[in-house]
Amino acid sequence: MDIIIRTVVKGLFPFIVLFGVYILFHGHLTPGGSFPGGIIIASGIALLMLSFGLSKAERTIKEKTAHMTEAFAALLLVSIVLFETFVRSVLRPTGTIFELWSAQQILFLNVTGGVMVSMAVILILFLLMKE
Amino acid sequence: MKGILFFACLVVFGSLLLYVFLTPSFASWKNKQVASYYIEKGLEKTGSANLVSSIVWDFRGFDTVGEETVLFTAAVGVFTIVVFGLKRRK
Repeated sequence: MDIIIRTVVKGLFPFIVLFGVYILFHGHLTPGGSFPGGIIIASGIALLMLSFGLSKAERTIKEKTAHMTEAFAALLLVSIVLFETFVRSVLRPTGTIFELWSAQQILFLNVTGGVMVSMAVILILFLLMKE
Repeated sequence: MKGILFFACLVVFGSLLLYVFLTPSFASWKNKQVASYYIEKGLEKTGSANLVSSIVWDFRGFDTVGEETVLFTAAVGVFTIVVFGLKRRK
């Protein structure tokens, strides 16, 4: 791609990923959650993929890593849900409301689900780009 | 035969449409207990300042897990199609 697009993407990519992680971690305080945060992280990778090509994006995150992370995040998500359903009072943080460490299981579920969403979208992008 | 079938479809569709328009709208429902319960008790029950997040991940948690499963299944399906397609082409 163009040199202008490459420079802009190179400067913007860490901030896009940081914004996505912020949305994941503050899903129970501000608008957002697991789906928007994961899609924002995946969009950063997609920008990298479109401007630099598949090999540079593969250097940032390997396809196999995305695959394994997605599978383990899905497993963790389901286990947190089952755990919370049956043993409700264990994962309850004793923080104050309106602070980061406040919601019972929503923080864990947001982060795990966001990782899973981002890795799923990254994997789909990788596979379709390779095809 | 065709005319009778068309007429039957028209009657069924018209009656369903009439039913939709004759039912009271959401705003005029007297029974709003669930929504007002979420709004009043959501903060103290879940501890989440974001009401949408508390509904999505706590009150309706299994629904959201189903959504994540849909995305997981989509990724697995794309992986399967691409990998087996590449293998068959070679």
